[in-house]
Amino acid sequence: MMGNKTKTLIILGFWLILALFFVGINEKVFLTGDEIRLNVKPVDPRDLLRGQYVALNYDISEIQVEENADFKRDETVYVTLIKEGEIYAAQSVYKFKPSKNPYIKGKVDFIRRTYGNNKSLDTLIIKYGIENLFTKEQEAKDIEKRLQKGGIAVIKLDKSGSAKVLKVE
Amino acid sequence: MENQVKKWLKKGYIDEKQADIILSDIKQEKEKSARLKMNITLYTIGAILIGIGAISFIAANDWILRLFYSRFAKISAALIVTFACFGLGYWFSYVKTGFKRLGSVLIFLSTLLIGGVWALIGQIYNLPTDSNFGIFFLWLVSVLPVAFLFKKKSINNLSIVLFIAAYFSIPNIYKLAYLTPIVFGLILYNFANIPIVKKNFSEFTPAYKAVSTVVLYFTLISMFWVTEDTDMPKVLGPILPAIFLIFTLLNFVLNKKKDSIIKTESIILASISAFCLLLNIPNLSSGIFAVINILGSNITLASMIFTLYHFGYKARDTRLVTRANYFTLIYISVLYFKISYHLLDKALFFFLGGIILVSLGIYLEKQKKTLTKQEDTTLSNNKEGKNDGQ
Repeated sequence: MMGNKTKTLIILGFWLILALFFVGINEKVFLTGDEIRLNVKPVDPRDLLRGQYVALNYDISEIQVEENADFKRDETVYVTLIKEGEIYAAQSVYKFKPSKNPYIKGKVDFIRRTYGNNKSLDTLIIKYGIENLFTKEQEAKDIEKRLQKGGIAVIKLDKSGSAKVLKVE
Repeated sequence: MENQVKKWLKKGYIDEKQADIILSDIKQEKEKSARLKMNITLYTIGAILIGIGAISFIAANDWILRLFYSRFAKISAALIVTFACFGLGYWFSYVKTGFKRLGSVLIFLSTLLIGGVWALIGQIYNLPTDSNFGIFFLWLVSVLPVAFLFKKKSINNLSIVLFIAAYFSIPNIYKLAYLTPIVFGLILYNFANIPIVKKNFSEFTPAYKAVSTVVLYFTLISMFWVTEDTDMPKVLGPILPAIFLIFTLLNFVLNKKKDSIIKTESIILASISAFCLLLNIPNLSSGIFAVINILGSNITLASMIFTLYHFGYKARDTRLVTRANYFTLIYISVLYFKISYHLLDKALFFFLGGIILVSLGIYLEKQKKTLTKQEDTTLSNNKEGKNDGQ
């Protein structure tokens, strides 16, 4: 029969392993990633668990593709990035990992279809997991005001396309 | 209990002196238990407030938290507080004597604080808000071993709340619409019936069953509004209901004690799974769909209510009977508003409903009489046995 001391140690050890794992998978991008800058526009909601955050909408969040490109909702996609001055912009979108870096991994949130000039185009709305920046209440409102006309988000991007948002300028 | 003692006195099983001693003992015990209950309530409310305070403090993301400049310092500080709380809980519960309840409350508090740690990590790394499922799931995984290793009922109840929060924050869960809660209810009820859980954690199973019964009941009620246009069969598919059907049958086969409760529960769980399976028949015409839907949900609902009444009376558990009363009231109200609009329909509805309820009443009255008869026979047998012994 297991003693209470052993049970306590098992639980504390288990919690520590979970914490190390959770921190580790998130820390990987910070340790191995390169810093890039993206154009961004913010909005300002709240999460019950983690408080106030600025929801970020990037230029690279909307990418136009041909109608027959056959992308599906919830599909994982890879977007190659090209440097235009200080800022990175989307170049192409792929279903498989591109051979050249930098690229960012995302998921198709939904597809918007537009018609014009006798042909239709699909716009992929993509989520990259960098759409939230948690901050304190007043700061979120300040960022929102400051970046009304758009701003720049500083992102850490690793070789596998995983990204984390560092700050907005 | 007092009424029981008075009944024994009247029947002559005990004399007046014995009755006085028993009654005064009962009074003392009641006072003691009231003081203890108040103590536990204060401790529990205090722990919950501190836990919510800790999570709100993390959510506030204010200057005090920013004193810990690096993200590792923040996470380490939160982990140290949580570990210290758990450690103190262990010390008060099992090492130092006289503060067992304080120890239990500190262990409970640490299970709230660990949730705060996961929220803090999510906040530091700016994880997307649709990752709340992950945070609740991690919290649930952290809490479950504490509940099961230390057999703590309050922590088990917290784990049920976290299971609900994690389940319903799964991204795009709304796509499963109507049948989503049925899956939740079936997981929880079937888990409660796993022989090893039933045998070793019998104190946990009533909570699992109570929550899943409510969820299953209200989902079945909501089926009255489902039509063939609802995209429900496609999204659930046949695999999950088939797994639940097998799970229910396995639980029944592996349960060594096949009493009437496990038999009835298995029949109801299997019917719900079979009902979900039936809805997957391809190209169901609207007529057949309506028949399967209305018949399936009504039969299952009615059998759930009947089972609650049956076992409520049999086990003399007023909670079950009260729950059955509420379920009946909701069922009849829903049927009334859903099915009939014309006066003749309403008249027929009330006749039929009244006849069903009166029949149920007669059945339960009969059950009660049988029980009283059995009780009296047992008491007189015991008395005779005692006299023979003297």
